Amino acid sequence: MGRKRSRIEIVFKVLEILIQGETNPTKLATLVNMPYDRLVKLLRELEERKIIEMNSSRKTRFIRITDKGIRLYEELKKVLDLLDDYGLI
Amino acid sequence: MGFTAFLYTALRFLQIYREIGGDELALAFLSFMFLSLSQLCVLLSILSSDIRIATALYVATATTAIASFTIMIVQRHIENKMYIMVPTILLILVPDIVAGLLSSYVAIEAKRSIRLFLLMLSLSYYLRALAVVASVEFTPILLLISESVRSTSAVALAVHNSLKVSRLWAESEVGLR
Repeated sequence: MGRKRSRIEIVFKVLEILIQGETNPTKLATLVNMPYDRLVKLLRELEERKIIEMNSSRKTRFIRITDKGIRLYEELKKVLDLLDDYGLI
Repeated sequence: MGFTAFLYTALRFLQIYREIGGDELALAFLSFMFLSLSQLCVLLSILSSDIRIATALYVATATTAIASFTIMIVQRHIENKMYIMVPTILLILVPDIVAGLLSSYVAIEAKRSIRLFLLMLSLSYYLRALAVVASVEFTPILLLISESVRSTSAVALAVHNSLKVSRLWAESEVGLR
């Protein structure tokens, strides 16, 4: 059985996918490999913090990363690398 | 240099923790803060001209490093919320526990009433260590019980030893005559 992913690893994976282009929550749930309801909860938190934007003007909701999200992604990449070096993640 | 480097790293962890949360980041922040404090203590212990302050800082260097590495080890090996065990692990590292373990060991090898008095003394150390991690409302009562047990055992040991020594001295005095 694999190790349970931490919250920051999941957030990083979400941002990594979104940095490649906008997508919808269902597809994102598949790509991130987590239950839809849990992902939506996480996405709402990220939206509140202006890390992502959810476009509800179309029939299908689309999610895109903000400039703040891109900066956070870069920071997270370094931090995860450091945590990995220490064997903490 | 080390102090600022660890402090900077810790603050970066805190900054990201405030954005997205995550227990790993909170624990990483704490462990790096302790490492940074450890480095600061080294620096200040060298700079301090007061021998008592320098000694205290020297001891604090190891203590903060212990706290940091304990958090790291717990974070590394325990995936769920078991890091609430950290206070218990720190308990083992309290000098009182070391004193308790050593006096227990001495007590096991001791004989008759001395064994009982030493075990009482050990118990007082364990209670003192427990007071360190217990919630604030229990700390005074634990310290009070600990002090009562410690003083009782210390007086008992003192009386026993004095009587024994004085009796031996009296016997040797008689023997000399």
